Amino acid sequence: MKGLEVISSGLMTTVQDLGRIGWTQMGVPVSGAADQFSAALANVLLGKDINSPVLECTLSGPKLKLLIDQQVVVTGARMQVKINNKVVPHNTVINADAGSTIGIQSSNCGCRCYVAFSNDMEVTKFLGSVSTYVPGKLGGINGRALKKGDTISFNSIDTNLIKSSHGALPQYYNSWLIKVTEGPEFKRLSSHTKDNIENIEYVISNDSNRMGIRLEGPTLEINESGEMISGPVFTGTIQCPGNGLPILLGPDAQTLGGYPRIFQVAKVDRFLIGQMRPGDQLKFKRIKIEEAEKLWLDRVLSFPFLSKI
Amino acid sequence: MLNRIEFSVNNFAEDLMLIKCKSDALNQNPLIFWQLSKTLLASLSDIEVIPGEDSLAVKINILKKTRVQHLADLKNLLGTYQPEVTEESNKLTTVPICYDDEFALDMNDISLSKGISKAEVISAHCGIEYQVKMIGFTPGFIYIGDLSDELTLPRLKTPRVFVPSGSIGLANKRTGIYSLGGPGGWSIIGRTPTNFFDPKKEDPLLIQPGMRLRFESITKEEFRNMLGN
Repeated sequence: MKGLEVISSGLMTTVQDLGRIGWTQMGVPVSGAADQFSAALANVLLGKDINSPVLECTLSGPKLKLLIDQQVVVTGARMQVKINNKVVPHNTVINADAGSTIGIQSSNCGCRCYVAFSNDMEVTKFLGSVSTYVPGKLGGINGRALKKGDTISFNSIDTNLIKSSHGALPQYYNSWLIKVTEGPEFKRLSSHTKDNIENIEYVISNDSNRMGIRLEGPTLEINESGEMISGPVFTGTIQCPGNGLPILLGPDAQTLGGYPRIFQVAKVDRFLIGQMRPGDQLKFKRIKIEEAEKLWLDRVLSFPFLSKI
Repeated sequence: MLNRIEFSVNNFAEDLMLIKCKSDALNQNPLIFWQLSKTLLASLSDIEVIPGEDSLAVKINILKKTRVQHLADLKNLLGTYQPEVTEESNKLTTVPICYDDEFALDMNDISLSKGISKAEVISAHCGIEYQVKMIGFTPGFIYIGDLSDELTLPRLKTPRVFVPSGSIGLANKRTGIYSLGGPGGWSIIGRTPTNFFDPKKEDPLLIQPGMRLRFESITKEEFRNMLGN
C-alpha cells in the first residue's frame, strides 16, 4: 500500500538500516545509518526490530505526507519536527493520521535525524540490506536519495510496543572530543605529533560525506617512507595522507585503503561520526584498547538494544 | 604441500584484529589472505573479514566472547591452517582503456616524474599480462599488478575528492580500476568503458583475485561507442 509521499526531499534523505553485514570481503561497504544508535533507538521506541528501515535526514530534513495512519518516532540531531504545523517532541511515539504532513527543519547542532514508522517501508534490498549506498546505487529508493514526488509503499507489520527504559540519551554539540585507540600505523607519526595530537583542534571540512570526514587544522608529521600496500579499514578508521590532514572514515567507508591508519575511533564513539557537521570542532582523546572495550560493554548495559549492533 | 605459515595476530581496535605473515610466505602464495578470508568465514561465526594483499582484518563481537578469547581462538585456527595450492587461472580478461588526456588526469605528472614520454608510459602499462591481486576498496575496484618499475609512483599527497567511474590509476606496484566514482588517491592514467560492478547482474562482481588480466588501448571514439552499448 502507498504510505508516504515526498513533498520536498531535504538536503539528503536516504533509507537506511544497520548496514550490509558480511560483504566487506568483496569490497562492498557496510553502509547503514551513520548514527546507528539513533536509528536503532527510533525502532526500539516503536517496538520494532532494530534493523528495520528508517529515513536518515541530513542537515535539513524533508517534508512528507502520510497516506496511511502511522506511528512515527524521530531521533538523532535535534531538527525541529512539525506534524501538521504543530511541533512534536523527539524520542516519543507520535500517532499521525493519514493525510498528515511531517516537516523536518534544519538544526544547528548534530547532522542527522532518523524517522521510523510503525509499518515497514517497502524498498530495494541488496545483499540483505536496504541501506542506500549512493556511489554504488544500491538499496533504498533506486539507490539514491529521496526526490520530490517519490512515493514509498509500506508493509503493515505487528509491532510490540512496550515502554522501554534506557539511559540518558547523548547530547550533541558543535565541538567533539572523540576517543581513539592507536591504529596499525600509529608509530609512523613523529614523536612530536604523538605527544601533541590531543591538543590539536580540528575543523570538520565541507568535503565530508558518508564515506569520510576530512579534517582541517595543523598538519601531522608522518613518515611516508616505505611502500604501503592497501590494507583493511573500517568505519572509524582515521587515515593520514601525505598532506598530514587526517580523514575519518564514515559508514560508507571503503574496505581497503593505502594511507597510514593512525587511529581507530572507539566503538562507543563511532555513532557520533554521523552527527559531525561541517564547521564543527573536533579533538582526539587517546585511550587504551582495554578501556575502549570496557566502555562499550558499559554502554551496552545502559542500552541493551545495542547488543545486536 | 606448502609449508605451514607463521601468522601474527594483533589488536587493531577493541573489536578488530589484524593478521599478518612474513613476506617470504606471501611471495610463495600472493593469494594467502584472500584464501584465508574464506576459511575464516567458514570456520568462525559472528565475524566479518576484510582481506588485503599482505594482511587481513577480522571484526569480532566482543559481547559474545572477550577480545582475549577471540585472540586465542584466532591463533589456534591459524596454527593449523593449511593454505590451498594456487592454480594458475586460465581466464584472461582484456580491459579496454583510453589514455586520452581527457581521462588520463595525471598523465603529465606521471610522465614528468618518471622522466619518460606519454607514449612510453602507455607502452609500459598496456599489453603486459598482469594478475588480479585483490578486490576491495569500493565494489568493483580491482587491484592489478605488478607494474614495472618505470611506472611505480607513491599515492597522491592529497587524495582527490572525486575520481570518475572507470578511471584507472597507479599506486606503487599496483594499477587499479575505480568501477565506482568517488574519492581516490591514485594517479589516474586513463579510463575504461567497461563496468565491473553491476548490481543488477546475478553475479555483480565478475573479477576475482588470481585471474589474469591485460589492458588494451582504445581511442576516444571507441571509448564512446563502447559506453553507448
